[in-house]
Amino acid sequence: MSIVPSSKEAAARRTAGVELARALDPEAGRLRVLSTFNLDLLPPYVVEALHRAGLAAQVSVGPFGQLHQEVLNPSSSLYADEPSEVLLVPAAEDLLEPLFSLPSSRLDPEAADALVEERLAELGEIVGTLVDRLPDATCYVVAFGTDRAPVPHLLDPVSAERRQLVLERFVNGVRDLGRTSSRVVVVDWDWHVRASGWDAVRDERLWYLGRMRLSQVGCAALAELVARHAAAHRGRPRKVVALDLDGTLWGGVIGEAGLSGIEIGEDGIGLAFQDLQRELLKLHDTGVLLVACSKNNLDDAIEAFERHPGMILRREHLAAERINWQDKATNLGELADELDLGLDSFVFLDDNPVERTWVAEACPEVLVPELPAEPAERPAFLRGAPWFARIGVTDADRTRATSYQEQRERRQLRQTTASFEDFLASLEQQAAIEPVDEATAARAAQLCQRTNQFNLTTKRYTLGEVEQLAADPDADVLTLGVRDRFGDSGITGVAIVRYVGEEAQIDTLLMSCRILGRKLEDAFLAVLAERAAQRGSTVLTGTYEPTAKNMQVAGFYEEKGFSAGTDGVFRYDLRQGRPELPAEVAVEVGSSA
Amino acid sequence: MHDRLRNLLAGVFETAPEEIGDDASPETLPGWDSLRQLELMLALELEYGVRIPADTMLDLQTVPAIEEFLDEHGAQ
Repeated sequence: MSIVPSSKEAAARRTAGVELARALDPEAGRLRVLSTFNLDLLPPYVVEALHRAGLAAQVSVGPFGQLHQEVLNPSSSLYADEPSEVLLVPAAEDLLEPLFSLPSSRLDPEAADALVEERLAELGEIVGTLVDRLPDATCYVVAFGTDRAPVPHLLDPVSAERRQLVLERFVNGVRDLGRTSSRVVVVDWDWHVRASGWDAVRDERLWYLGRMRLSQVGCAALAELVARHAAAHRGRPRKVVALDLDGTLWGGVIGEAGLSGIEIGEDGIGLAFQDLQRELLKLHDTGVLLVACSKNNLDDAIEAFERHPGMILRREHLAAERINWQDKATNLGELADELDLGLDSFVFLDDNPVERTWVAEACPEVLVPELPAEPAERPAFLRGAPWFARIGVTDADRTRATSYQEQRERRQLRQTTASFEDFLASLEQQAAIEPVDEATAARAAQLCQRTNQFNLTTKRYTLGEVEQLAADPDADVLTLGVRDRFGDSGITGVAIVRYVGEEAQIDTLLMSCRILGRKLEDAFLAVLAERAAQRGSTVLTGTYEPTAKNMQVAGFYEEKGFSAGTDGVFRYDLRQGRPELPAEVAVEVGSSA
Repeated sequence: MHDRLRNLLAGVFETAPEEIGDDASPETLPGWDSLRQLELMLALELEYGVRIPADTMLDLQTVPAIEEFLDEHGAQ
């Protein structure tokens, strides 16, 4: 999917962005643009694109061509602005200007290589300094190459005099900057602009009149790309694809055509359905859950998954399924309950416009894309869709699908075990409660960002903030890892405790819904109380901050024996006793960091 | 001045159409700087389907000059 809009669409986005900027919450974060060329046209497009991604920031542009001064000088306008996000746009044609202007008699191939390495080292220093001096900020670095070979009339791409390879080396070096910190996000403009080409995003007149390398359409495209990365980085991508079967996963209706009559395989249009399944499998492998939501006879559908040689997806890839004759909105609601996820995590793929319309009306939180009627266009459609975009893959993403499978098995066990206590005991649960460290901080921040339901205060800490709290001697950041006989659920809970005088204040207490109702919250609380008592605290306190989604924990502290104060603070007197460790959980407490 | 042009100027300069006088120019209209000049030219191109040469872009700085250019270049 091209990121480049039409001129008309770009103009409409600018108008909308100007309006949105005027109405922005003054508390919204600030995004500062630093570029080697003039990007004064950019801000309204970024405001608008962020808005469409559900984000907000005030956007300002620093003086162009002054990356070094702005970043390295601690009293520059950049730091005065106190940005929460910085967008760095170092264009190859600006930073490597000698490649384009000097003849080889004055810049031989070795000197050209040296120039590129020097500029990359400088950029690395700039990015490193930004990350150090703005400990909570995210730095978006744009890999901004060019389609212009410095010496274009030499056509051999590897000819040193053409200088194409050193140019590509530069762009790859910028891409590598993303490895330096989890707060550095590379925006690969060079790659994403290919679909429409550079000619669509520049206006030569603007370069000569205003040193602008992007037209308004180009600014709209860059803003779109940055917003997609920001949305992916801040971590609210959709988590589930609910799949129709007949006409969507395969061609034809299995109930009528039978196993051999459906279209799925290497031949003809069957390959398009296979390719769609391959894209879905990639999503599965990176942590997106696949569920079936189909009007079908269960046995027919299962036969396709289990016996058709052309199928790429198998039943084991499905985290849950509703294959029946109920209406799909009801089925989606049940699937959401079964997975303990909100409907706002769902994307619904169905070839039937009637089903789509019904679901879109009945479940407005579900994202219902207009799947192309032409099956051949669908693999590319899914590849270009931004709904599941994330920056990288965490360990939790890799194992999520497996852990939902284990969850299904646990549920089956629960049905065959007599009492709930017996069931819990049979799980052989082990909880590992440990201070957060370098390896787990990213996961802890991810949970702070994403957990909605079992979350007492819903404070959306960023990675930078988690790291700061972890380093604070008067605060504890603890993670809860859970294993049972079915497998390892990984880190699924976070607690942050601040020690103030004799009080241990629970600032954050959250757990993934997957592990609720298994007395793990009791174990977590007992450990918090024990640690607080050992530090000399006499009282453990907590608060409940209501949101639209965390009703279920409104009474949590009182249920656990805290007394409610008139000030909204719940208190547990540690001199009188401690919350008990539940017998059904074996607890391992990690040593203090 | 036609309302169409007045509305376009108002959009670019983020003000109400009533604020755009017939004699509007960089001297009389706050915020009419070189950046807005370029944005104005691009907005004119899109609205009227004309192409403005680079060396003209910085010259069309009054409402009469803009109207004359549009008349001469077959604005739609």
